[in-house]
This record gives sequence, C-alpha cells and structure tokens, in this order.
Amino acid sequence: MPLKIEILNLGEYEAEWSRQVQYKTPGRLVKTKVVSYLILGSEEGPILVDTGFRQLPGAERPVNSTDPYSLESQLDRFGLKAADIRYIIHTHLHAGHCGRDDIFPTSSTVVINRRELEVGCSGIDCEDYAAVDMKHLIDRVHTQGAAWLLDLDTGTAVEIVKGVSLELSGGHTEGSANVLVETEDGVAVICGDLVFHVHEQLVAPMGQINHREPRISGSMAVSQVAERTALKKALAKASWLLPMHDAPARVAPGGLVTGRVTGTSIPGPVTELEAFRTT
Amino acid sequence: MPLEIEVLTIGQVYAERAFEVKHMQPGRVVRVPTNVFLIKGLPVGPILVDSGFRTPEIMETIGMRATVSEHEHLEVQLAERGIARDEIRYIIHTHLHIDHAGKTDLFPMSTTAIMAREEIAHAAGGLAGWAYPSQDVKHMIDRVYTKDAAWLVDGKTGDVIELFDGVAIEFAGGHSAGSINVLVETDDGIANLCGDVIYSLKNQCRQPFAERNCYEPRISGNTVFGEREEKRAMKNVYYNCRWIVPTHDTPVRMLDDKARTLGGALAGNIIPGPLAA
Repeated sequence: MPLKIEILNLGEYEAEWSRQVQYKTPGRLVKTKVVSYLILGSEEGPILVDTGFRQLPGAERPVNSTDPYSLESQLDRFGLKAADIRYIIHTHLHAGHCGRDDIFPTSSTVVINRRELEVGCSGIDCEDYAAVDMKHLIDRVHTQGAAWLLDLDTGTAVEIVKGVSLELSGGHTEGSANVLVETEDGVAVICGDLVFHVHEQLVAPMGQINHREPRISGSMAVSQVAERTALKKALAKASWLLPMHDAPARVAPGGLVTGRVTGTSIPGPVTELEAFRTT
Repeated sequence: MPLEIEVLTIGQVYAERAFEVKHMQPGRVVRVPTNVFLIKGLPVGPILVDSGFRTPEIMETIGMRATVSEHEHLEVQLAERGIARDEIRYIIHTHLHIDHAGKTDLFPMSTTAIMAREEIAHAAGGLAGWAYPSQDVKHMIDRVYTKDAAWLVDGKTGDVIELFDGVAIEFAGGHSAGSINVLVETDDGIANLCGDVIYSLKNQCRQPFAERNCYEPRISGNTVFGEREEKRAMKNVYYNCRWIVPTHDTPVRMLDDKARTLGGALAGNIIPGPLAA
C-alpha cells in the first residue's frame, strides 16, 4: 500500500513575524498554524510526526482531548486512538512539537535524534524547550523500547520503516531532522521548522537578490550558512515540502516552489502559484 | 584566608577492578571509597564538589554493591561540621555520573549547581543511560529551568575558567563528555579535583598496569573517549598539579623535585596536610 500523509490541524496561535522570517516587521504578529503529520500505509502501523503544543501560546489552558483541534480529535477522524500509533517521529523537540507525547503509551515508540534531546536538556534554550516535555522524554529513554534514539550525522538517512526515513536537517536546531516519505508521487520532506512561512521564505523571499536564494527564519540555533545549506538540501530532495506551521508546497526540480497543497493529504490536490518566481 | 580542601568519604562502592583499570584482573571486585569535597576559605562560604550517590540501592542498578555507614552520610557529615545545606552556595560537579550527583536534590535551589553544559546534555541523551539515573537527570533539568539554580559552563577540552578567586574549572576531555577538573590554588600548589579522570593512583599512575613507557598512565575501563584522548586527559592532570585528588582514591602529593612523580598519600582529610609515612 502506498504511503500517504494526512495533515492534522492542531489549531493556531499568534507568533511574532521576525521569529518566522528573519528581520520581518519585528513586533507584528502573524496567525500561525500548528500541524502534525500522520503517515498511513506502512505495514508496521500509523506513524505520527510531532505532537504539537501542550498548551498553545496565548491559550488559557492546556489542550484538552475533547477540543476539536486536539491530537485525539484529529486522530479520531481516521478511527485511530493514541495507542494505535506505532512510531512518533520528532523533527525536533521545541515545545510546539513534542508537547503531547505523554498521551501516548510507551508502546508507541518515540523516534528522536539523540543530539536534539541532548540540546533540549542542556539549558541552551529554556524558552523554546519545556522542562516538562524533556522530563517525559527522559522517562521514555529509561523505559524499555519507549524511545528510539538515532545518532544522525551528515551522511546517510536512517530508514525507520519501509519508505520513511530520517536525516539530519542541519538547520533550525542542532539536532533537527527531516522526515523523508516516499509517496507514489515523489518524496515528501517534512522539514520541521526549517521553513515557517512558505511564501515569505521561498516563493517571494524577503530581501533576497540571488537566484533561488531562500529567506532564512529568525529562529535558528545554527549558523546562517548552515541554515541556508539545510534549506537548499531539503528543497533539492523534495517533490513536496511539508513545514509544521504552514500549508505544504509542491516543489519542482531545482527547489522551485510551484504550488501549494489545498487539501488535507499528500499527495493531493495542488493550487498552482499564480505568479511564478523569476529570481 | 588560604584555600584548603576537606575530603569527605560518603560511602564505599564495590567495583570491578577492570572497570577502574582497563583489562586489569577482570572479575575481581575491589572496594573503593566515594569522596566528595569541601573547598574552604572562600568569601562565599564552603563549596561542595560532587554529592555522591543517592542511595546504596541505586548502585545496584549498575550492578555494584555500595554501603554507607551511619557517619558517612553526606547529610550527617555536613551537620557535624555545623553546615546547613542552604549555607552551601555552590556545588561544582566534576560530572554527573550516578555516584557524583545523587544528592544534589537535598540542596535548595538557592544552592547553585555548576556543571559543564555538555555533561547535562550527554546525561540526558541516553547514550550511557545506566550511568545517569533518570531521577538525577530530571532534578538537574529542574535546576536548569530554575533561575540561578544551575550555572552551565561552556568550553572545549583544555579550557580553564576561573569561577572564584583561586578556584577554576578545566574541561578535562576524558572520562565523560563533560567532565571537568576543579583546580584549587592552595598554599602548597594546585590541587586538582579530577573526578574520575583518574580512579586509582596506584594502578593507573604509580605502577600503571601493563604500561611500558615513561610516565604513561593506564586508562580506566570506563571511558567514552578514545584511548588517546583518555591518556591526554590523564597526563594533563598528573603532569600539572601538586595534589591529585580523585573521587575514588586517597589524594596524593607529587614530589617537589621530581616532576610527574607521585609522592606520599594524604594522612588526614585536609589538603594541604601531612602525608602518611
């Protein structure tokens, strides 16, 4: 059965523009989606990529299982319960990406690049990583089979199940990983927070003069060169680029974004961009 | 006031000889002390170096028997000296292994725990899961997230950072990813509180097991670095101080006139102090 990726809508929050797109209108807020991706079609069972926030920024209370945009409600659309998820793969461990790992039993194995867990616990960024999330993951690390730690380097990707692999992103955070999914219509790259905003960073990248030069985000822990290299690497591999805070993009060879996903599945319907980039 | 170091033995551990000294007498178990240290004479009050293991039982999780006698308990020893826990302003961790950070949670968050960032990172990453108990790691994460409860030092092997007048830390580059040596300037030269970079002064330095070359230390069987890095880290300690102060052995004073040559062992528990005959 071919692999298919479903977009799970986990709500939205207001983020600051210059965190998403470096130096863009500092102080102004932008509505920002939060998604998880559900990979269906593997013989080993459903796979989830990231689990969203424990409590959306600005929300008055933590996410409740009965909320329409909770992970539970979204999984229910597919008749799935938390315990049905075989693997939870993390692009990285910022609070908006692993906040609800603790609704899953330890039989749902969490897949993490070890360096990301190390960084998350190291105090290098207490704002973006949450202590409560880190401590849950420490419990998993000390529970038989509850965590699968990868030691990703810049070399070969690691296959998790047939058609789904992880590779070191090289951008955003020190341990961020891209999830590569082989679909019937090319490779989908789930790129974590390498890309926050497809239009402002890739389609009409603010302030870029050079050909096919993306705009980096304002939330990166690595160097500018590393961030740019990582963006270009992800684009070069992708037929589909799936960020965690925006609608996915259709990507042509050469890293050119040619359309946006308008449905809820990848592969799925695409709206061609009205104006193609010329630079 | 000149700085001095008081050695507090907080328990005994029964460990494989080959764990202490690589490939030496495998299967033979030896009893070694677990020490923590008080650095005295600073205006901030006494500084504790390491906090020992949580309980004897937790050592069983790594297959080691341990004992703590009534008078060995860290809490008892501090009380006997009239030191309340909240009077310890800083705890420096040479590293975060099971027998070095187990009792840090007895101290309030106003006691700042000092450690290398790479050590807490490595402890959390699960690479040596058994050596870093989840209770200890989670307590450290709480400190990392509590204002001023942790002081994380960043650096690379060989970097020396002076934290207090006469007290510096040095990135060891041996034993564990973020091991640091604590260098204390005493009236009798530098005392190097080297954690587990050296376990056994006799079998690793004085009569190094199976080594043939001049001043070549024997590495331990518990390392995360390569052999060359371990040797460099050990030589850095034993070539460059007056007192070698390991966690699991009696401190030794180096000879004045013969560099790199071990002299006598400390007789009492204060450094500098008289040597055993």
